[in-house]
Amino acid sequence: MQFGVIPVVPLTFAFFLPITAILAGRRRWVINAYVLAATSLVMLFAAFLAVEAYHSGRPLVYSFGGWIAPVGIVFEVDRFSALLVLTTTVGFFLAAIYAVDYLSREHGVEYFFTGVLGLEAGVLGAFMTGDAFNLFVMLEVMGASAYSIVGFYRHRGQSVEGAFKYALSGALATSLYFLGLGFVYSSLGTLNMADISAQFHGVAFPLTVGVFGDPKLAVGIFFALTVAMVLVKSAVFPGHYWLPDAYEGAPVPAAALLSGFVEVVGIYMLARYLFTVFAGPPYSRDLSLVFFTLGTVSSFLGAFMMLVQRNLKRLIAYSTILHMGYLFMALGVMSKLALVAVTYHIINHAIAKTLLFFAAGSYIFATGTADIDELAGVGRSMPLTTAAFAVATLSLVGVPPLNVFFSKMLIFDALLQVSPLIASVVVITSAVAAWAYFRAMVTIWRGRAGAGHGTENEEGPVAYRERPVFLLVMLVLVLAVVFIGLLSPLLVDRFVLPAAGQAMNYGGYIKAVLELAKGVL
Amino acid sequence: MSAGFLMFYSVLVLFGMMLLGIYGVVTRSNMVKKIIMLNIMGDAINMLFIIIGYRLVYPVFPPVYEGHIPFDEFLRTAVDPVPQALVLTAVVIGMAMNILLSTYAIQIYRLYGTVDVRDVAHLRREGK
Repeated sequence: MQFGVIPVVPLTFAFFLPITAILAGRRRWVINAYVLAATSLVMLFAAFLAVEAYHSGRPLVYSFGGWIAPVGIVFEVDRFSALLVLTTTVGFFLAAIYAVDYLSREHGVEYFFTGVLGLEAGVLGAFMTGDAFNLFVMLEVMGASAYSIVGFYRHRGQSVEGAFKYALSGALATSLYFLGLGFVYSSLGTLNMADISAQFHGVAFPLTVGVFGDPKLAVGIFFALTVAMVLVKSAVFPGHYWLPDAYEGAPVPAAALLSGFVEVVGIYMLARYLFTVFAGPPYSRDLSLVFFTLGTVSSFLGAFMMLVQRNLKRLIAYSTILHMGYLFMALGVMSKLALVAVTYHIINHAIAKTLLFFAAGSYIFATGTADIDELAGVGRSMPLTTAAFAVATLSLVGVPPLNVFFSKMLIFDALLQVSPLIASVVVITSAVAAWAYFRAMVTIWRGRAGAGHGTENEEGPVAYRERPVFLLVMLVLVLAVVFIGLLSPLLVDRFVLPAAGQAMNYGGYIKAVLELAKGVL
Repeated sequence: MSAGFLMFYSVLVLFGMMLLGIYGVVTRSNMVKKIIMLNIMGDAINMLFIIIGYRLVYPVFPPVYEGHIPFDEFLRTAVDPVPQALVLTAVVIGMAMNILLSTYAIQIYRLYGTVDVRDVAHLRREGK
């Protein structure tokens, strides 16, 4: 099967969705069925892709229009990409089911889902592409869709303001990455990732003439600009300022997607450039120092800001900053263990954070407020949602049988290779975050609803009903959290280690494209 | 004044423009001015890309090879078309971003009656 078509599928579905919505008129089920069909089809393709990538010993290459590597744009998918693509498509499918129910009271959902499908195309494209400029285009596809769905509640001031802040910061950041590409292109004379890697490591490649000037300096500037971009896009200190406002204003399914899959694209890009394309990067000591410093600051900032939040969505938003800080720190180690930890933590964080957002979204849907004090006591009338909320928080804190514990442990081990002091950051910030989650949990579950608050009226506590669709989605995610946790040693051994091994083998990455190019020329 | 100096001077000016754009986005409090400064920055980067592909020779040939000159001479005198293609893509993306940002600025003006970010933050704190 031609796997290159995967990002094209959601893009095509997104393109025809507004027209379908006009034809469907008032029949809401047409839009819902359309979106679920699109996301499940993409999920199916991604499963085929993952199987193919794990069976094939080398990265898979697809060239658009038959134009081979340095001339045309290619998609290059190794196991690292395939693993993330599969996780992303499953996450989008579950989020689509959740969003269909969550937004059932809103108007104009077809535009929201157009944005969601565009976002899926952008994220998948960014994970799969083998071309540095195509990555920029995919970042912008992803960005434009994300900025639109964050501002979905266009009559709420905070929502539109958060979207404006996010859009302006994101547009500025991606421009910096574009400038960085200028340095790489003028020095190495190519934009294909495999070709860039070949030029950088001194491997001969057809059609590309060779390096100009000092490639080490050019790559150093490129890394400086790319890290600046990732700081904003992945919300690492000091580029995190837009995130709490954007998440507070966004609909819950959009915030869950942003937190789980969109933020990590920046981390994925850095991992791809550090471990595959520019394996053994210049100025690696300085880069490591930047990663450790900013990651540590970001983790502490996220953890301590979680303690003072009164809004449930903002609390989860700061938790995202905390976890992006962990990933950023782990990138600085630049060993195979670090790449394994980053890959596994991206997957586990996405699953657990999506579950946490969905549980919080159930409270918000039932009560219409995200204020923790006003949510006091809601948990008693929604016991199953509260159980899911508890599993998600326990997992994110890092309680042993659940999935995030194992990836946090891998990050801890990776950081121990550098210094016990840096590794201790993970433990300290987890403890602070645990206290913040505990307080929110206690208020929501055992808290006494105060006078004038939404959870109680004259006849006693209001009994909120739990929606079956929400419960179904959360059940799937709870099972994923528990079973991925229980099967962790097996999964890391069978899937994550080969993925990291293949991602670090830049020779194989170049060879896959090189052989295709030589076959044509 | 040599051609090399002219090239260097243009690059310097464009870098200055880019830094000015970043400065403007950060310091201006008016949303419309922020969008304008973002455009100045984006266009400076686009111009830098055009300069990467430019050849400092006369006459400059268009990048279409028809066997009219030896290939070595063609490589030396033809403009590199790749940066132009990249800029074309970036310009289109920039337009999409402009539309989106302007839409949000208009919507904020409708909701708050101002496009000044400090006033909007102030109104938000008052619980509007």
